[in-house]
Amino acid sequence: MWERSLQDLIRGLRSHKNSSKAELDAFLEEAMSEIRAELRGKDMELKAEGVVKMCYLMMLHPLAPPPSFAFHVVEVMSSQRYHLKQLGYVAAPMAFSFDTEEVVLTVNGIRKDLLASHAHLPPLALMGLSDIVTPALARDVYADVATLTTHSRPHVRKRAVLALFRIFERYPDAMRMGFSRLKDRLEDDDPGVVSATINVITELSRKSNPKNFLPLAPQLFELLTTSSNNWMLIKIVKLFATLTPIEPRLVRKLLPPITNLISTTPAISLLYECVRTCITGGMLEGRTEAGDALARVCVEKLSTFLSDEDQNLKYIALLAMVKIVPTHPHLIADYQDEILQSLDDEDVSIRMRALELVSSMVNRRNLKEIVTELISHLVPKETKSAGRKDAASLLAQTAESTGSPSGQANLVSPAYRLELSQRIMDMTSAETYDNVTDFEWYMSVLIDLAYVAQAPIGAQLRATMLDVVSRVKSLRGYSVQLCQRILNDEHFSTAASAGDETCSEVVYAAAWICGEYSSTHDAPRMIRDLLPTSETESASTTAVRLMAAAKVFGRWASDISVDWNIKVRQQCLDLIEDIFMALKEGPNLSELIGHERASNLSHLFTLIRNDVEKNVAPNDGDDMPAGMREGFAEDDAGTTPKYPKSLFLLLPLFDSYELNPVGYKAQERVSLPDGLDLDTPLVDPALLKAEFDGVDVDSEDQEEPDIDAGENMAALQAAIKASDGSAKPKKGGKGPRVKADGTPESKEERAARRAARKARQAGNPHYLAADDDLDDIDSIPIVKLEIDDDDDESARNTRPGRRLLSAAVSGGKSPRRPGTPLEDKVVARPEVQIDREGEMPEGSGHATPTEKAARRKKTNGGLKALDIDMTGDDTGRASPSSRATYDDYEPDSPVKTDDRIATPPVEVVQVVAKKKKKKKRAVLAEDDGADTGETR
Amino acid sequence: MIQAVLIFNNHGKARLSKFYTPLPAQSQSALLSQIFSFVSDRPAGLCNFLDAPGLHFPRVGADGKVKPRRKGKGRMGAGYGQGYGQGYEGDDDEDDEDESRIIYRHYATLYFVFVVDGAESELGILDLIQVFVESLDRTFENVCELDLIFHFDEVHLVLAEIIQGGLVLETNLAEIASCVRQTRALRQASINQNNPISLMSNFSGGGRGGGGGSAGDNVRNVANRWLSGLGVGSG
Repeated sequence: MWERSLQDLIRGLRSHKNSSKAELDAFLEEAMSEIRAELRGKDMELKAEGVVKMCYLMMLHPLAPPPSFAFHVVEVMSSQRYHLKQLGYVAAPMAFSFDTEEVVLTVNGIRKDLLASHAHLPPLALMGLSDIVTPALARDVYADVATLTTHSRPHVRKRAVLALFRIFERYPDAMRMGFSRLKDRLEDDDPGVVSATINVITELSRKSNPKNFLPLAPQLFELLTTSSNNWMLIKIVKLFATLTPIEPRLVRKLLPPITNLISTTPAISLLYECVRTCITGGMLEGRTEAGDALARVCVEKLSTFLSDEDQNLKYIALLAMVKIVPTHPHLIADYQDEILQSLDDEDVSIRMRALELVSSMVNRRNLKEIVTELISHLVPKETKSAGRKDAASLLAQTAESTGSPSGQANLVSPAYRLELSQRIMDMTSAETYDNVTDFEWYMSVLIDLAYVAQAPIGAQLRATMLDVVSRVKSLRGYSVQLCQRILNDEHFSTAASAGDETCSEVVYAAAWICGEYSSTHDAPRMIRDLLPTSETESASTTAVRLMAAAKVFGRWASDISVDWNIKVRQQCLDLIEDIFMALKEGPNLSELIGHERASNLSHLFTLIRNDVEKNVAPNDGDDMPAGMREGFAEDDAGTTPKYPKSLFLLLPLFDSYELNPVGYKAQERVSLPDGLDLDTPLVDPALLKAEFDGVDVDSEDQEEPDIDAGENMAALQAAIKASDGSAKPKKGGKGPRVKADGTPESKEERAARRAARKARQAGNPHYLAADDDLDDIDSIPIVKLEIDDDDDESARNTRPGRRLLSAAVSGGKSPRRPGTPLEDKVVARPEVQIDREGEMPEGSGHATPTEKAARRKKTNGGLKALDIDMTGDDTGRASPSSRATYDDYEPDSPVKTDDRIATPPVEVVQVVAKKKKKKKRAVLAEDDGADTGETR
Repeated sequence: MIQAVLIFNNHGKARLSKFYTPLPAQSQSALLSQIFSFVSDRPAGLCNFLDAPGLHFPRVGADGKVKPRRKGKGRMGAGYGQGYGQGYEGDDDEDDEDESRIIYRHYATLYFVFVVDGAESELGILDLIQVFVESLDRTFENVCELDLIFHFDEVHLVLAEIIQGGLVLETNLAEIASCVRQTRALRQASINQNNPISLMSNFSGGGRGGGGGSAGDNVRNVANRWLSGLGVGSG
């Protein structure tokens, strides 16, 4: 007898507290080999000891037990001696897992223990069973457990009832048979058993169809009004929260007792649950007088918690208020200050809840205030009192503080910063910026966020910035100003070069916005700002900067052609020279995309430079009075223009179409043209692999995001894609190109574009040489995207519903967002024009199969699959007294109750097949007699 | 329902971990250390509900594998353990009612942590932790961390009198204590019944075998002695 007991093992482990990992590992290894030997041995006592030791080690260290561990546990479980058996049952849940086959071996042992005449064995078996039950085991032991629910000892009944829940969960068919037994336990003499039953019913009601439990309402109601057990009352109240949504008449009945509980109970936990049931149970909805009064009582109670010393109550109050906001936002609004104060709490749990509450409270009136408050939490503490005013002041603040993050409030952990920043983004962009009334303010908030967030939200910021400018036309000028400031901001450029993802993404967005929307006024300066300066900037940002510079140049060049003279010519040449300098020195050419853009531009600008150099500009342009110059220009109209033609080389590359936001899901609604086979590979994959092994990786990487794009922001994707050129073919798919002014593009322009494209492709190894017809992407029959200006205009002026939704669902206007009508009167929608819908392809009125599938209600796992309608038999058995109470308050439903009484006790069971497996089951009807027969 | 009950000390060492829905051992200890890292950061006087960005309760799929967590959710994603063999497609549309919450209490050197879903009342669970601790106190008479360490099987049994299969079995302190006393007596009787020698076995609290006691000795010597002892014993 030299074996170590559990105590010895623990002492050994404790003596290794300070030893090295190797020593500990050696000790564990030794202990394990000992355990293995004990498990293998014949002595049951030692085996049990080995099992306990293994369990202890498993709890402390993620050690894998020996493969036969489960088997040995089964042996111990079936030991004749109580203390060993007990250890076996305790160890069983740790030894068995989903795929443990040994569970099968336990069936007989468990059944034997369940039915043992020894009073102490059934509770043990029930305890173990609850933890290890599998569908097969549930089927085998169900009948025995059901019998135990009528055991003479309350302790056994209680355990049996709880075990039933796990059995129903794993083996839903048992619920059909066992439901009545469960119901009977509601009338048990022992309050503990009743409480356990309520517990199980509450769980079942949450996890399966709550309708099944409606017939129990009279009994539950009686318990609610008579019981004083808070534990049980909490559960009953929670149970009613799942029942009232499906039986609205319960609300009227429940209002008095719940109101009574709310105003009298000293138990705060119960009070809170009552309040929550009022809210989640829909008792406050419908704007009835009683509902409103109750809501007021609830909010008053909760608001006292809000300022309570006890942090737990504060937390609970915030949790409950979130629920009340959708129906009674004005009641919560009264406490906005207290709630905002909670954002300052030192407890992150409370701040998280306050944050959630605040985001649900946001409306058009308070958005600015709340966002300002939230941003101030991101700003380092010492400067916080200054508050957030605008980008410039923050810029100064952050510039000071970024160097020394030490003073930063330690409250604001990185994860919390991220949460906070995301909340700000989410609450402002919700419902396509529905709450934003001042977009200039919004743009500056986004840029402030870029300064202060210090959280990885760059991609989201970029997406939102681009999305907002493309939707709100009036914002573009102001955005360009802000964005140019970003481009010039050293904080950003150094951070972006240092690899800060957020700054880099924001610079990306800023560059794109400047390129797309800047005016030609002072364009040379803008171009110089746009040109990449840092070699460590990310390649995609470099690429965007280059393209943006080219865009601005294109516009500027076409502008200066009007006033062409020697001064302008020199200015133009200087600028081109600067561009060449930047192309040579600045950009990050380590990646293909930057390299490609740079070489594109350098060729184009070479062309322009040569052309401009050859041109001899009139040097008297500036001296001429305006009128004369015009006349002069007209005189000359027939002949060769004075300016170099290449000034118009770049403009059509970028301005030939307008970039509009693309409708949500527009991508997936483009219908497939007839005869387009997407399944056959263009090139035999095997061949491709053999020949281009590894070559294609890059282009694949870039294509990948395209496919997922529909989910997020199609508009943005399109915009970004267009800017870096990789989506050019898709843009071509719009059919005849339309210039900004709406006139179709001329043949010459198109030819010029094609030539330019070919020149690009010729130098690019990724393009296969193709003949002209195939290369003409314009001729590929893709459904034309509609750009309907009239429609857009009207949609913007009226408050737009989602075009997509209304078309798909009913063809009518979609309902308004559930906001309070009051609010709309106070804050009239400002004249900001927002394109909330975006473009949609023609003929996209029908939903695609994938959307339909997505819209279909998902069935939940577990018991949700079991949709049992048992209204047939249960009320028939309800006690007369409770029946009477129930009927009293629903005089308007006599037919239904009569029906119930008249119906013979038949359980109609409808098993709704899970949608994927298409397992169909007919409606089963089972006789109550058969049920009891089976269970006995 | 209650998804897990954990006890660990101020250093994050587990003293009890009970999961009412099976979770792979790796995820269990990962969750424990994750919860510990959040909880130990919280000074006294804050609320007893743990709610932190970046806290996630692993979800188990039908095959027993841990599912990837949902992103962008502050509170823990749940839908965990809704019965195996039933499919989990519906997990994503659960509302926050079904999210897991972590409720904890800190007593001296020990943290008592309950992980529960929306069916439990937060404040109720807080009371339940108190009940659990008081039951332990009655069982071990002035319970301390060492009691839990050396009688970890008994701690499981006390818990089993309060919670069964994730549902609350009993909340009455006296009732729990009497049940615990009963099982204890039964066990003692069973131990004594067939094997009078084992009176001095682990269950009566006494140590067995001299080898284990010499904790301070050189490890290798002790190990060698045990190994040879084992060889003699089994031969």
